[in-house]
Amino acid sequence: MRQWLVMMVLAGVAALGSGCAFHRTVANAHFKDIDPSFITVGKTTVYDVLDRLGPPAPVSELSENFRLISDTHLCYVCYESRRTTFALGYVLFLPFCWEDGQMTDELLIEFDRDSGVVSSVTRTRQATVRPPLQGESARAPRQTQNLTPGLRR
Amino acid sequence: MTLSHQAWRAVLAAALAAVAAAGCTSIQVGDRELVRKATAPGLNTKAAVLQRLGSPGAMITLDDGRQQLVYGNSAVRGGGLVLSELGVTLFSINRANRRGDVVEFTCTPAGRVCGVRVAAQADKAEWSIWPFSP
Repeated sequence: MRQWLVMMVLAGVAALGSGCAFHRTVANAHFKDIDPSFITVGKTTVYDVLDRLGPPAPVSELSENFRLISDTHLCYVCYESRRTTFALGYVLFLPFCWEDGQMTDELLIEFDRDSGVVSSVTRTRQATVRPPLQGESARAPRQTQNLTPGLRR
Repeated sequence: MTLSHQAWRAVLAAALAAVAAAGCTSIQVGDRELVRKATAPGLNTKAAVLQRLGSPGAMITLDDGRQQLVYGNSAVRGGGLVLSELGVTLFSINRANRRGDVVEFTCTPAGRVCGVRVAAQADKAEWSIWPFSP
């Protein structure tokens, strides 16, 4: 009797667990650790930056480019999302899905509109959490760093 | 093996609870506390805005030299259930609430904030019922 019970519990766990999946998607991972130390504030131009780093790439759609590039800024974005799904696929399909998506690393390079040289560099880092296993309280505080004072002039 | 009336009631209640709970979807993109942070006092300069909110989603320079920093977030909450057999959907019902906030700061060329606009999109419920279309 006890063996049957154990087997039924195991079968139940296997049936429930089969629908459980954890996803992590990272877009533009190569932008995550851009080193802006080559920039000289007031001297490096937008073309120098483009030659060195290439153009910013959108996370998912090309239409995003409008917000990443302008005559006064370039923004290099790394996007990460964590998704947990639990989908029971036995006759009655109950899809459970939790997702958190954040721009985990953004490097914002601003230019003087008239001269086209770098005027400031800012980096923002934001962590993702994995809902529902982690709530908002588990998220590390956003970090924003003004890198301009540390660059050459 | 026969089940008592109480056991049947418990099984029925569990089945109803499962259907009532159905599936749930929760997708959060961006900072859900955006509006609260953006409307807190102290954001008088562009530098302060960048320090508190990070890089903007969009940065637009107007013809008169003023700059607009645009921030946004979005969220989808929903739920539904699908009844299927052998890979064929027999019935499906889903509901999703979509909402998002947009905050727009306008800064003078000198870097002072001269305007803030907050647009909070109200919950927009979307139903999808298969095979019927509402």
